[in-house]
Amino acid sequence: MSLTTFEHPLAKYIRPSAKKTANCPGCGNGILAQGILRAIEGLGLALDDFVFVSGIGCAAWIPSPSFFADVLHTTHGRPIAFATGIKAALPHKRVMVVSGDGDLTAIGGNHLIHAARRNIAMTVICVNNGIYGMTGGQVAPTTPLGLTTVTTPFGNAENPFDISELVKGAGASFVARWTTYHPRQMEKTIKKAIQKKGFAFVEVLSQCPVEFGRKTGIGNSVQMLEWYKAKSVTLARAQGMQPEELRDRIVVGEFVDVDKPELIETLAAIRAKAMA
Amino acid sequence: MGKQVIISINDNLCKGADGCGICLALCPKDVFKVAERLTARGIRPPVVEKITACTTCENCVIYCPDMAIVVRLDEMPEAAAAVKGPAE
Amino acid sequence: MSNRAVLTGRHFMMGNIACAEGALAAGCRFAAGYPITPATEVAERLAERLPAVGGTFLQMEDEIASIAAVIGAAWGGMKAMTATSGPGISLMLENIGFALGTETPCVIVNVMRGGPTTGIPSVELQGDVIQPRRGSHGDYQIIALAPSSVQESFDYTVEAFNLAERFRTPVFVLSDAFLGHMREEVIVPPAGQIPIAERKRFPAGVDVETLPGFLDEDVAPMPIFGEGHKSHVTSSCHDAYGRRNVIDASALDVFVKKLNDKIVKHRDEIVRVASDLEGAEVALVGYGSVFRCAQAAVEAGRAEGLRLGWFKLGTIWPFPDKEIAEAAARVKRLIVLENNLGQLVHYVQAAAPRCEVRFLPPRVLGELHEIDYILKAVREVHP
Repeated sequence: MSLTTFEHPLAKYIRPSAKKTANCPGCGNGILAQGILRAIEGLGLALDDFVFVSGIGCAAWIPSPSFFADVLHTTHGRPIAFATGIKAALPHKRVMVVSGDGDLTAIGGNHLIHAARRNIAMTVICVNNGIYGMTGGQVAPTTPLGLTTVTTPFGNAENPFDISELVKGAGASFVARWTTYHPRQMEKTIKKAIQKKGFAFVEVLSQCPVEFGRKTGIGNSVQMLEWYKAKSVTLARAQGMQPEELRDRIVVGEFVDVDKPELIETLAAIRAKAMA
Repeated sequence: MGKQVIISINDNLCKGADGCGICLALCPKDVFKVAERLTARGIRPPVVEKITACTTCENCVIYCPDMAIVVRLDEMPEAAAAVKGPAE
Repeated sequence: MSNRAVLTGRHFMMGNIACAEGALAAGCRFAAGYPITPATEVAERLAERLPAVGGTFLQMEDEIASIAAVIGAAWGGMKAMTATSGPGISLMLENIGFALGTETPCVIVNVMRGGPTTGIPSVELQGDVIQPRRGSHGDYQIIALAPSSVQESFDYTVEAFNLAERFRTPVFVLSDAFLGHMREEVIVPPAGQIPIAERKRFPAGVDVETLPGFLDEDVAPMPIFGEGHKSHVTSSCHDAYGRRNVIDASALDVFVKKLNDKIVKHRDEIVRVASDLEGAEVALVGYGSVFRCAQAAVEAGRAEGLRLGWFKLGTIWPFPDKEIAEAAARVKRLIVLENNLGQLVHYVQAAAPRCEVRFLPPRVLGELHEIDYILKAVREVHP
């Protein structure tokens, strides 16, 4: 047992006035926060090389206010649109959006698919907890069919998105998915996403024990992590499985990594030509 | 000779084993146990029970959602970066 | 600023084009927009002209994304704008509130059209003049300018950018379908003669934990992104350092009042009016394209011996209440001409409670007031 408390190796990245988070005990978002900071540090980058943008929801509180860097905390669903303007104004800065599944695929769905289509260079981390946590457990576009939530008291009558498939279909040049059970793999993938010259999307399933864990009966944060572990299957393995076998599984890994013309670069070329 | 492992738990950042408990569950060597008494904030943090079992896998560090655990190898207690706490 | 941005000289151009040129002359280098009649020419002109002056135009997927990108670019240090019409403003109002609460300079052009709802896109109404002031939720102040000519479409857009920079706030330019599509002479001065304002900069090498970057009624320096200020910009209730506080009512009290006071305290610097009340017993109050009708009617009426004058609102918001009161004290009656069912007239009445104030819409909403029609109304009240 130690009598002194050592400073966490990532403490220098945390805003001095925001050392504690408002997250529920056991929330997966803190695991992802560490993963992001480790990825940035591991690449030899500084937090000041980035501008972070987030929307509304628990996930949006990952960079806001904790990350000690430029952070824009936007209106619900819109971080990607705000981030587009930031990237246009500061093309040399790395722009990272961190927001939730409700924020990015419900109210923000339109901005998500268009940014992917445009292939604008930014990293978008979509934190998927399958529910609207901050507002008390309403159904989300990712909530499983049949689940009872506070706005689907008779069971969710809708099919959920496979967000990674959606973003892949929209034309993103990098798409990956992990869960908070896989922080080391997640960190490696986030590094790749940051370095990608194009729209890089990482979906991270993160446990919300208070809302999702309770509603589904999966349980507390530890039980949810064990559930992620049991349900996950890597892409390599999944490719050898039948659709029925995959129905209730979470396929994880890097799904898309291609090169396409990137928006900001294309605009810069247009500008250079026009100014000549 | 043998390296010394020091595990530091910030009781001020920790949200308690009852609500969280991830470090306890994800430690492959059962290094932690739950504190018997509540802290002044009303939570029961993990405490190190079997330091010699620690392999510095750092699962506890990486999986802690509150960045409350630090694992150091071969550090002396009077290291410059040591932060006394929980005084905040 | 390159010379290419300022088309010095004499031109014959459409109001929408003059507006875009005013923006470029003011230093606008980012615009985002979505096509909508009757504003589309503004976006088209900016799309053509921005790359050559080192700027960027993006057609976004909708108006909400457009204003969001504008605000993002403003935090990236750029002067940024969007142009739309009433339905687009309706979509943008949430994010306009965001710009207000985060003190983001930007310019929003509304080329007003016939509403409500889809209405008639190519016909003018002055239907959206309360919208900037009360359309976004909550208590806030807004600056809105109403050009009355193509020249003013240029000049007022420059002014809008300057006010946005000076007060770190979104500023509206309220044009309309007539003005936007009408062609008149525009004289663009040499670049050196165009007054340009720049936002107060946050000191180099300082982060927002140390110095306040928000909520100063004399306008805090803006901690723009990319300068190492580690700015935390949130539209949640926050303190002067940008730190979110969604718990204490006292924090909300300060947040709402500081933002309000920033504009109210400086209203004398912002308000622009003009008047010609020489020998007038009746004054016609107008703004935007309808002011041209008022001015023409005064000229015609004076020729007939009517003791008529005019009062022009250049700024709609902050409302020129003091100036209206002064004008009202000089005349017996005010007739407020608006191409709507009476929006600003109530504010005129409130500003001049002891003056007789009448409202005169056009004979047909969506058409301009004819001179004879105006003079007939004047004669009914002329002493």
